[in-house]
Amino acid sequence: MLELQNMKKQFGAVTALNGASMTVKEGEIVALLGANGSGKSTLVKTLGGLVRPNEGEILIDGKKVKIRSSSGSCKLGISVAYQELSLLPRMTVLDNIMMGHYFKTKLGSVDKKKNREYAQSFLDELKAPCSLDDFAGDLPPSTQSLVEIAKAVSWQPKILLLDEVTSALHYDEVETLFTYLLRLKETGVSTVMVTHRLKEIYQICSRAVVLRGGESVADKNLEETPMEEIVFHMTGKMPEQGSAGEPHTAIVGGECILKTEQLYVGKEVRGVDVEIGCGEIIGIGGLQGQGQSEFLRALYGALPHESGTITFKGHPVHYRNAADAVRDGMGFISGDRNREAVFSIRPISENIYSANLSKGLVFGPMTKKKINSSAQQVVESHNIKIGKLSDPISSLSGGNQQKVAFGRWISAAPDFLLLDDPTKGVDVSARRELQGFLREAIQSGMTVLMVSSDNEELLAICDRIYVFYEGKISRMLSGDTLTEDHLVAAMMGLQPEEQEVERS
Amino acid sequence: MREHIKDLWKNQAIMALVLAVLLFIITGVFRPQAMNMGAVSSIAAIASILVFASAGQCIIIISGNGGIDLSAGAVMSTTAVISVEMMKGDASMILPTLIVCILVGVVIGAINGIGVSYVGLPALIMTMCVSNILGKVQLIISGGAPRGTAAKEMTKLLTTRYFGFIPGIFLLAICFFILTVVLIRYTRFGYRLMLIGTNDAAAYLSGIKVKQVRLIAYAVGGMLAGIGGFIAAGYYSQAQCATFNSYSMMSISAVVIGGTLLSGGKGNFTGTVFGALLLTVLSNFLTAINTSPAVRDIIMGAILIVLLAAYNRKESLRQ
Amino acid sequence: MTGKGQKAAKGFASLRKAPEFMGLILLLIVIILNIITQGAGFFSANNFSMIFSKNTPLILLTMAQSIVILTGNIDLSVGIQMSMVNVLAVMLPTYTGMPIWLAWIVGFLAAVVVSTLNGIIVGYLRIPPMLATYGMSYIIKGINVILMPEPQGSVPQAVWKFYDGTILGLPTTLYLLLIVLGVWTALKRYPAIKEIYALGGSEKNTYATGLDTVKITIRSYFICGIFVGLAGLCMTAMIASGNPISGDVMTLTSVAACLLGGVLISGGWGSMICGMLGALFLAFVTNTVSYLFIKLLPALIPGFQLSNFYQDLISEMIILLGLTLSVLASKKGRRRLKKLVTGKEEDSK
Repeated sequence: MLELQNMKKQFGAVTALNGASMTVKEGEIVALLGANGSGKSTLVKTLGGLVRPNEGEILIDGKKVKIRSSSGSCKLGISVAYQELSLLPRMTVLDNIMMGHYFKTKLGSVDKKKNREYAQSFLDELKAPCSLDDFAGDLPPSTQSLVEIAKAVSWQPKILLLDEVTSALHYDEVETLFTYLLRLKETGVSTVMVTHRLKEIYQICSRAVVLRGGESVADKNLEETPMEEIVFHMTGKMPEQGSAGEPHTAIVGGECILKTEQLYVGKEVRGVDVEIGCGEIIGIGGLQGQGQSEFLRALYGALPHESGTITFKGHPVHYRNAADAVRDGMGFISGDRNREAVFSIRPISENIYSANLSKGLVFGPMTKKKINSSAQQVVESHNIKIGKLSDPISSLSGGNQQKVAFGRWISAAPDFLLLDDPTKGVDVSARRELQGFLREAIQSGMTVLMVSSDNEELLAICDRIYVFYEGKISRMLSGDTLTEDHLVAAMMGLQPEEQEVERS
Repeated sequence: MREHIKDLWKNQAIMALVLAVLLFIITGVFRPQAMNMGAVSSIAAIASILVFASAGQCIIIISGNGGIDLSAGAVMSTTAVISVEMMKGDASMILPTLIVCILVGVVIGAINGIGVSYVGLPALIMTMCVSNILGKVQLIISGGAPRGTAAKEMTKLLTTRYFGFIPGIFLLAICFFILTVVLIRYTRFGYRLMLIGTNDAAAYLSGIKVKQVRLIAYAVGGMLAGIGGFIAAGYYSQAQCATFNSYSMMSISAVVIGGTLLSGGKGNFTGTVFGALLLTVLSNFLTAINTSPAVRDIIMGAILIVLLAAYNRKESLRQ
Repeated sequence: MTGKGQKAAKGFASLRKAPEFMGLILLLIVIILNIITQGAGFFSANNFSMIFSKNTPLILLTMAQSIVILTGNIDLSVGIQMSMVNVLAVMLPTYTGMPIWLAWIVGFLAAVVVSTLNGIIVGYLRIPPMLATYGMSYIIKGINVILMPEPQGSVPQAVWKFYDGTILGLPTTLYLLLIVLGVWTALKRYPAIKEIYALGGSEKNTYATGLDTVKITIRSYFICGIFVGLAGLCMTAMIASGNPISGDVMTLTSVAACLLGGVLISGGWGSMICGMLGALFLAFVTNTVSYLFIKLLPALIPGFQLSNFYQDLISEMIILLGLTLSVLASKKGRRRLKKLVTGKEEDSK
């Protein structure tokens, strides 16, 4: 039984938690919801011992406790599966799971057999497709998430926190996980699930706690609360009617700006043909890891391609690095914000101007003034909330950081913008804003190619969708076929004839 | 007012300057005879040499990815040896020698850059190996004992105290300062440098040629160190093998004390200069109070650790 | 494939994955080169025992450095600490009249204390290890010179004869190294060592897992200190006298040797065996080059006389070449390994 009362935390000038509260009873699964910047991650990290709260009380089983470090948190029976994963890439799955709580022999050394059996049991429960001897860093993201979860539950915690663990999982893996969590529930474990996928919480959570602006604004019983109300508490506004945002009228593209023929990239892309017309927003859908990301990066020159042709603006191209692609008029926004899009200690102005900085002579002149004035324009015209341009970008919330990353390519104005799951882990309202950015970009003449794991988003804004399955295009959806059931079917690799059969 | 002092305290570069001045005054307290213009000039001159070594170091450390140059001192020693062997007191050889020193510096820097950027060797190891190799090269060039001296005219220019107290070499240090600050803050190179030092992947995806910029950083660093060796040889008029080797670690200390992040992406050459000044004043202080070289080493080591503990501690794991 | 064949293939595959693989390959290459140039003379007891007794201090020093690098840190004071052990072992009997064996123990413990102090500075105060240990090296150098202003002193004949000698035909030092190797192999199975690997892999994630990263850091420097102490005692026996600063140059060599052996500079990958292999590689390289220059080439080419400087230069260049090969091979090897497991390529940059 866990109780958080009036938790407060400041990171410098940013208020992450402003009196957040939450209770979780024994044998309960509670959803912790909120937009980016609402304080969910901070709350989770506080319980994990990674963040020291400025104020607030934590009670476990009615007793006040102080969590002074991560090991202190472990000792209290708290276990966390982190969103960014706490795995050690160059150690085996076995070591990752058992690190810190190995079974030991009488001499104190690691008891190989016992540890293997124990760890394997959790891998089996979660049906993780890996062996104990694989290096964690070599596993695909979905399996890594499963290992992270296995690791957390292997500590046999009283309180289990799962921070966005389903975002990388395949559909069937989520089902297995939920079955397991329900079983854990029976044993009295208190579980907190942080997620953006609202549909999921109705499957296993009994209650939902909503954070907004660092405060708890709602604590609702999910049986009695419809999703719109939850969204309302998260954003403070009623969700718009229909699907995500304004309806989008698909346009017929102008002349072809990008074409690929039989593109092969490593093992992931096995012969892909696409044609994209000027001014279109083209979506790339599919389950995770079907080659979408590799395809995108090969177009951008960030990955080499073994065979096939890429024709851009009428000329065949074979970029040896991303710089050449940028020079030719391409841009790229990655969804892996921290690793691939954000210069954390640099000022916001430089983060916005970085693509422009890549153009021009190396020893050409450049001044702070130039950077600031250009960045100021972008900030103003797109309403990005910042303190000062000279503040480091790390002072902004995640959603705003992603807006800055978008701003980078608005400033650089490429002809063709590639996006690799840009709204992953971004909340509902920020998502709408970013979609707005994209529409503006189209209006100013850009063409957009976007990989996304969010089907709703793809259907809402894309003119056409190419669906990837096992490294190839399983289907291209447009016009009448631009519907959810067609999309889902194509994601599973079902051919049109098979889909018809399915339907009848 | 309190807020201002608090901000000042946190500004590592300014604190380095303040400490340097304070320490100089304390030196005067212990040794009143040391408090004259001559002393200030000497300090300025010695600090200048450290500034030459630190300019390239600052740029390389900013370039990130574990960027560091353990060969800075060796490059300086090598070009110093080359300078005296080439010039042999002849003023007409000044320009050719300078050109050779620049080339040597650029080439060695480029080799470092290729090893770090394209082969993927850690900078610590690559520059250390190059440093060792240069050590042997110096011995081979000079046969163990470099003969010859720098051109007399050059030495005169550098050692003369203009207006009674500004050594010529200090004026050159000012030029170095201006050049480096322009490179870092007023060229595209400088901004690209900061970006690659912060996040390789994001810089690459923004279209920056990461490997190329890094290579240039090392080449420029080598060039600056090479020129530094040339100037230092001119100042001292003679050169021994490996005389300036200790400047590698000293320049790293100056850069870090001055507020540049060892992990890269953020840098301040003004701070580096103040750091160099502080280290020089400190060494001078310890000499003035007549400590033996051994005690001097102990105190310098201890003070380095104290300064690092005050300003350069790593981020806490628990926020 | 037969059962035995399968087992062998599996064994080889796991050896291929091990961090010691590259170091082993490099060592084999250089040993073969050595045999080619030296012929039968290579196997003479004299040659062998000389190689080992001369290089055991470096080997132990490299092993000390490797455990620190495994955590993602570094120790630039190990060389001068070695000299400190030397100074104490030689000077303490003179200053305090204590028996020699006690002085040796005190010297050994001094290294452990200083290294643990380094561990506290790096782990608890969180000062960047390179500069912190660099500062410490200056402090130790000063102390050494104060205690022993000039190289001097002696070591009982019985000791250095034992050190240079052989037991049952094999060099004494080889036995020492084998014992140390055995200790490491036993230690490796302890969680304490696994935690060291974890810390090197990712400090953030190790902390998030609930481990005490400060304790682990101090532990790694403590173990380092033990090996530095041993190295210092060996060096004392080897040079049979005292020298306050001669160990300092070996610090950076120990770092290079770690890398040559396959220890990853950023931590989390490698082992003490890698350190040993890398140091042996360096030992045999120097041996080959010196034999080449002093005995072989002058014999083949009449009037061949190249100064020592060229000899050293070539040694250094071979080291750089070895490092380059090691890095290039490990990049390729890891890419291949990743492909085997997931069929995914690393992103090229």
